[in-house]
Amino acid sequence: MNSSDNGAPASITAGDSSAAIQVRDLHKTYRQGLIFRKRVHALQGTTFEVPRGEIFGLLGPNGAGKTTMIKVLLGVVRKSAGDAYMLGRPAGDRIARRGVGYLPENHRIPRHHTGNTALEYYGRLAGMTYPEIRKRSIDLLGMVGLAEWGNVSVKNYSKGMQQRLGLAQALLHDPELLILDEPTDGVDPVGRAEMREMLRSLKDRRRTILINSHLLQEVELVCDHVAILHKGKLQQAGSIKDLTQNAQASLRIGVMGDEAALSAALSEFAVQQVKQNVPGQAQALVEVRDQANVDQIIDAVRSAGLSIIQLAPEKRTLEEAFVQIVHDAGTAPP
Amino acid sequence: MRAYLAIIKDSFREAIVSRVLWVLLVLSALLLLLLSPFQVTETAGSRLASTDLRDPQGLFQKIYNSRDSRSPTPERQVWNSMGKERQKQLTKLGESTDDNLMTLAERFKKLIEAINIAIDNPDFYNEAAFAGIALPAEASDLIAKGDDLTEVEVARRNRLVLQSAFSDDIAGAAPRQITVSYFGKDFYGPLSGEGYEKTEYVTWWLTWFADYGVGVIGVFCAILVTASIIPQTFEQGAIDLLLSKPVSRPLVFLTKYVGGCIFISLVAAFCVGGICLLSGIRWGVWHPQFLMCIPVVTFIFSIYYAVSALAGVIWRNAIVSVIVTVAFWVLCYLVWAFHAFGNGVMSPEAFVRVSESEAGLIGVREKRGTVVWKDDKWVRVLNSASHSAQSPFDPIPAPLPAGPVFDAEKQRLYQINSPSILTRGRPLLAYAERSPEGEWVEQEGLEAPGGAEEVFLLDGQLFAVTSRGVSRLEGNPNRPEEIPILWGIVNLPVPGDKAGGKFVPASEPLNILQPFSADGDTATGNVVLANAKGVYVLSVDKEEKSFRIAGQREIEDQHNRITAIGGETIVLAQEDGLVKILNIGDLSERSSHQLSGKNTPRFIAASPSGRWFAVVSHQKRIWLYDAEQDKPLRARVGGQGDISAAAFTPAGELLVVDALDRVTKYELPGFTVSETHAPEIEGGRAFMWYGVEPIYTIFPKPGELGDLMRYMVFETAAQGESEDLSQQRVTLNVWDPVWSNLLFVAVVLGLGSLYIWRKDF
Repeated sequence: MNSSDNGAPASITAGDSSAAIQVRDLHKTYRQGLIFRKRVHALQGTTFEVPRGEIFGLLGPNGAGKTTMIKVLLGVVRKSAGDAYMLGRPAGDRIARRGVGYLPENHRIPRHHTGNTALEYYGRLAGMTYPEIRKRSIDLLGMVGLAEWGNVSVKNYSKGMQQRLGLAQALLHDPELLILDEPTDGVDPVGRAEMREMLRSLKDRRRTILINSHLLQEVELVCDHVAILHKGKLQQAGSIKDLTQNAQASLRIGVMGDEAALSAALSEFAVQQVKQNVPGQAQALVEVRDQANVDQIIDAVRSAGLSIIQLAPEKRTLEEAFVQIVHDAGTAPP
Repeated sequence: MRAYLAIIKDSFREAIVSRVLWVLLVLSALLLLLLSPFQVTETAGSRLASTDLRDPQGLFQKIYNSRDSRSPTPERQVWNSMGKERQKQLTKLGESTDDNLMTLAERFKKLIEAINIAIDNPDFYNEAAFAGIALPAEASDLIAKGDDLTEVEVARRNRLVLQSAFSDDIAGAAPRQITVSYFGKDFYGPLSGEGYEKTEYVTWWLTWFADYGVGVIGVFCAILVTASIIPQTFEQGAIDLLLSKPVSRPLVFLTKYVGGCIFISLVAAFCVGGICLLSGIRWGVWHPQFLMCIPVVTFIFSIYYAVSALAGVIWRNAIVSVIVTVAFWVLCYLVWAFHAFGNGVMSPEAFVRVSESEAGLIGVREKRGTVVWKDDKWVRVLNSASHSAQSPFDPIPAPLPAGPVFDAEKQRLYQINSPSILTRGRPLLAYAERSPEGEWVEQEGLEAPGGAEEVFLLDGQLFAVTSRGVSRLEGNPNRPEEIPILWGIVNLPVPGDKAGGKFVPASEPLNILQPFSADGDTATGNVVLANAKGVYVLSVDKEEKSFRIAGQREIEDQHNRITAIGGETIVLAQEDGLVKILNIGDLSERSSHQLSGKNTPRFIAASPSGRWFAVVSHQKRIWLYDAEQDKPLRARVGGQGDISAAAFTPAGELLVVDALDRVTKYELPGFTVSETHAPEIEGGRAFMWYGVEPIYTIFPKPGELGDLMRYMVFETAAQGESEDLSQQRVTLNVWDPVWSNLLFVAVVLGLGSLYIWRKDF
């Protein structure tokens, strides 16, 4: 995966079929208002690439441009500038859309449908034959937990059931690329686990999945790579591991001794927190830069005569990393 | 393709699941149920209708007064045959001294009911009672059958006997009559006469119903129920799911539109097909052409639905969509109403005759009198009651006047006005005199020969051509003035200038079948007459001032035709658009030419030299013929399609009238414009031409597709055409609204497609 903030990496070429999605210096500007039309920059030169066969998370706060990005890829919204490719073809291309399954956020399957007729309708729109649809529908409704609900009107479905049906229609034509916008919205924990399992099995079958979600724990559990958007700009992209284990790591150290002694021993270091959990035992959280810094901390504690009973690197969650990145982007000069 | 078929299928699924289809079908079925108790029965003409009564009060008195009579009379027979109950009712009404309108109406109503009971009574006919009354052969035949008559035959016999006995009070019944009943109770009729044959009557009403019932109310309901289809499709949440599929945006929009139209066409098929079946099964009138109303109704719907669809994609709200469509509907009807009203007011102003003489330019308007060009405007000079006083909306126009001709010596302008059927009255010689100051004064003319088709001056004498021959005006043209003497019992004519003249025969008697056309050549004195039977030429004996038949030729094709004469050439223009050129000598055919398109000739004019002839068609186009070259001349004149009249000046220049009363003079053969006379356009005419007409031209005309419906059902565009070619013809405006509406739908759908193609959802 290649990425940069604003520059276009040389490795991206138009219609490169090795990547499922390629976006280069993409801009989208909306105009709002009837008379005094205000410009809203939803995407401002975003560049990233999603390799085939990966589960990719597109993250960002509200209004970051995530849904706009997906709509540009699908051709639902026109780009203002830049390049976007999907499955090797220009974004919005009708042939490219044949290989894409899409679950929009807050989608509305027409109320006159049942589960079965909805799948028949969307299957036909995707160019499938009736036998193909019938065969896939049975399996998919079972897979998303709606096997018994195929003949029930959609208007009787709960929010979660509608989300499951939406997922089924996205998967119906066995797409090469699956784009899911808030897929677990309204889905119960069991359903989420099942969905995660299903996504992993799709990945095993070399399907590419782009997930746009606010639920960072879910993303962390299933995604290989993520990209974080903020105010239409790509702030950071990489693997989950890269984002959660960066230079700002911490070390948790526990000693036999009191809080004051530990504080004194670590006075030379960037201590985040010192506390006395139980009498005779103290614990501290210290920022570390590298392994040498860790060795120096251990030496300092031992030199103070304190016995180390706990030593563990403190890893950031994705959510912490996300908040940090968004916060940094918000305070950084434009 | 699969995707788009799925969208159409989805439209139907939505209609079925949402019960819209069922609601419409149930409403249609209810409508059929409401119509089914109607019964149209055609019988031999026997029922007495109110319109059959010539003197209802007199008839009532005759019958009422016969109640105590013992001698067998027709009146007594009617009284005896109506039954006790009706006798009591009539007695009560007869004894009433109230003469108010309600009592009279009740009296006549009961009288008609009583007579109809008598007509149905097998014992009504009594030989003694009707002795001495001349009966028609049909009645005698039925009487000869004795008692071996069906109920219908009994009623027919009784009606014939009745109308023979009361011929002054009761009009004769048509051979067949129809009666409309509802749940077995007479609802309307009996109706008889032209247009009241059962098949024609039922089909006419059904087409009316399809036009105004299904085509207006049905389409309105259809717009309401389909208004939500497209907005729902383009709602957020639904549209991005749809557009993520490999489909084209404009095609999704167009497919949704087509789906709506197909859906409504099925409902229309159910409704119209049901009516067609009802007509066949219930009323015995099978008219499969009536099914052609289905595509027309669908087409009407498709026009409004295009607007609804465009509003639906722009605002994505069903209510806004309905409001916009209804506003468009109202606007369409307003434009149509303004245009129709304006046309109704303006078209009678169009010139149908134009001429140039020493009096200047003279024009005859379609219904508004005769005018001359004076001080840059048209001034009315002849305003006779029988011609110009008609309302422009009169259903039956008066025949066009014969003339006008200007007598330069006497400074008089003559024309003969014939009355319309409605105004009745007598044909009059209308004339106006010009004072030395140039002022025109209309005078009361004397009674003229009826049915005059042509007037012309020959050596200062005024001649009129009628179907019975040529007449000459002798004496003064004014209405004779009389002096009442002996207390008004005796009137004596005023002698001198105020004494009226009269028209006297100036030819051997003719008996030309009407309608006919006539033209007099003042240079030679020859007169030509033409009708569906043939052509006749009269030549003049200038000494005796009388005409005789110089030649005639029968033509078997039976086409109505008009004619003009000039020099050695006679031109006949036939109803089928064929123009025949004849030599005056032996009436042999020199050549024939077909008017282009489907032009039907209305007027024909010849130049004084006999070289040029002009034919003006009902389609308002002009066709020219050069007798010297014996070939048509391409008419390089402006206003084709709007030309209402043409003529030649004494110098042989062509006068062409377009834009109602704009006269342009062309020099032939080069068609150089030498003069144009047009009044200033102001007031209502300016509003029509610069306001309503442009809007009407570009606006769709969904309300006018009823003409297409009638054309498809009855397979004719003609509407009660007169056999007289010079009479204004009303033809159904069939195809213009079709093209205009198709263009409108294409533009609206194109805009919708463009909007969707460009829109970010």
